[in-house]
Amino acid sequence: MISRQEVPAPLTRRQLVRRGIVGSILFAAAGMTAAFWWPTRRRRSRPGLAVFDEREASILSAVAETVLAIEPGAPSVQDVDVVGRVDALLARSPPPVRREFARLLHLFENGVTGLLTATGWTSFTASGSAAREARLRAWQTSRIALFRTGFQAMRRLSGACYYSSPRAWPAIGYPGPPDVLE
Amino acid sequence: MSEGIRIANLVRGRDVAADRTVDADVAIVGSGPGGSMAAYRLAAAGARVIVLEEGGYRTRSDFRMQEEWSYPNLYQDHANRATDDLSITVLQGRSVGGGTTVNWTTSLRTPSTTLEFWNRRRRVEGVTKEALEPHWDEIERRLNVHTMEPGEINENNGALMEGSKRLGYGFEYLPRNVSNCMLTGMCGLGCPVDAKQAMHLTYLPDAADRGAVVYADCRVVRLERSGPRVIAAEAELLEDSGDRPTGRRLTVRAKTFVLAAGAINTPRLLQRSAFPDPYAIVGRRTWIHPTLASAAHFDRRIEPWFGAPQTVGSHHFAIRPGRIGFFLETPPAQPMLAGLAHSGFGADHRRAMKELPNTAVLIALLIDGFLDEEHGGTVGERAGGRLSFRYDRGPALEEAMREALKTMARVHLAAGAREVVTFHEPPLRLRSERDLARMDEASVAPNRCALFTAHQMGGAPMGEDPGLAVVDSRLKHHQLDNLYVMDGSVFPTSLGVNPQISILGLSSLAASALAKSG
Repeated sequence: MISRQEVPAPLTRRQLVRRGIVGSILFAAAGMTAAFWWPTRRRRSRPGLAVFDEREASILSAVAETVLAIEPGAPSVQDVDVVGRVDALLARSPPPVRREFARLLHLFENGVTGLLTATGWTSFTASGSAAREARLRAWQTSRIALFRTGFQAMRRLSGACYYSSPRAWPAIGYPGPPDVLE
Repeated sequence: MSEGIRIANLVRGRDVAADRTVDADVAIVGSGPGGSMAAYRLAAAGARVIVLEEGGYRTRSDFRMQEEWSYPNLYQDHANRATDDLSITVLQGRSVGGGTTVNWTTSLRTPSTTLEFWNRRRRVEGVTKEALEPHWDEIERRLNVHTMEPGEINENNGALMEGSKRLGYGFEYLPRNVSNCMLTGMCGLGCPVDAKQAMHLTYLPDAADRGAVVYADCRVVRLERSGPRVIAAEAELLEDSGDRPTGRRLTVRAKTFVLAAGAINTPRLLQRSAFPDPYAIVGRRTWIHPTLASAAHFDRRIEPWFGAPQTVGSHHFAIRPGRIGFFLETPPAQPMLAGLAHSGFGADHRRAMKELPNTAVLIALLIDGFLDEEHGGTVGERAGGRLSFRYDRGPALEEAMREALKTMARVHLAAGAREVVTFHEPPLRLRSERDLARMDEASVAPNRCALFTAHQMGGAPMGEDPGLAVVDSRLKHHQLDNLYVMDGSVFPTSLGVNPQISILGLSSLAASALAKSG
């Protein structure tokens, strides 16, 4: 007989600290410091976005470029409009999801995060490609769970929204759906 | 192009111009396998049935084999559902037909070992192989369940077969619910040729022909009760995109209520309705077949996007006494899913994507819930009213993850793969048995090694002991007189096989009994 006490453990203290407290402080810090101290290198604005402002769009664009590392000749992140595709997807999500992702972008851009992960104090968008890769690598394997979560959110959205576009298919040899529709 | 099979009595959210109250004998929440089967059985017995489905009514004319349309429109949370920390991606259907519209067609019966475990350890009574067999027989006939011909096994599945043969691992041809399958490989995006015998083509039209009414774009937000009886389901109608409320509400008053919203949304609805839960078990012990993937590059074309998925499987490692067992299957791999799933970034990610035509993919599904030390998933709410879903990991899960990853790598290497690419962060590249030792060092902590789930189970388990179970073995709520749960939520553990036939069979058994008693 199984005991009635086998109630699953709630989040451990350690998990709470890692996710909850550290996470909230970092997010709050990102919102404040990024806005004032770290200029984002902006791209020409892409009109008609529902969720992202120009700054967030510029950060996401730089992230997607580093994640995808498109070869010369293949359609670029701009050609495929990865930012517009992520924006459209998030526009259908509940407001808290949108806010969280926007805050994540600010946090990632922020030089404070760079210092925390020992990858320099320059904002992400103003960094060179080696520094950008180092910043992503630090988040990918960070001991801080929140950074790994953030890395996954950015990586998955970039990967899914780029390769879902028919324009991206020829470069990877995908012929598109078979001809079975009447 | 012909219209195909339609559901006779279907109302969309946009069709309802004013707040509406309707009466029925039975109100069913959810139109996946559990709800559709319940609707059919009860309507056939003469009950006035109303089915309420949050997702849209999508049919083959919508299914254009485009991932960018299908994932956001046919899956929960636009296919962004995940555990709170994003470490487990949750693929769960959301449209008329539920998971059956997008599943990969595998149609296996519940293993006897699982049914016996439920009886022995969770006090489930009367849910036996003998009781279920006549239901399974009928369901398999209706859904045309059969295995494929050898010539219909694609290269991706062939790699699993070939590797298993060389290693001496057992494997089997998997039965599928298809008629005139054209091997598009697009099962997960909605079948473009109506070959897959999903609920919106089978039991729902059957139920509608017997008077059942199906509401699409209709999200049940809570159930109201009076003492020990549920009296009404309160729903908000949604716009055609299935996201935004139209502002109109639907109230369904019924004699009997059946929850079949799936193993995350059903427990959530019980919680939102604040129904009695004296032992705090609703939304606990959620099982998900935690699923690992492994890719392998060959020196020949595999084209993992094409051909029927999951035609071959291996249950060779399903039973590992004292440990978590697992089984192997082969997913389809179109570019969006591959782009989302492949780990790493920069050159790692690009290289994996460029190899896609020569890539074979395996998944290992971990059979969770059978060890005393496992707690499984927990469904609840976080700030802002959003769904919270967490999954507890212990040493047994980590051991099984590593063993399953090594097994998949061995199978692909034995089948002739040039290299195996894992879904660790960063990915490992393995070329020989000797390289597999690197799996022992690689972290499998959350978000260091990709996990998925396409099979959600538990959270409102069945059994005779109210301290262990939310519903009894006839699937009636222990504390409420006229409330039933007929979906994957009632499974006390995971199954060890893909769930649709188990859900259909159990719903058929319970709904038939309810129809007789009613």
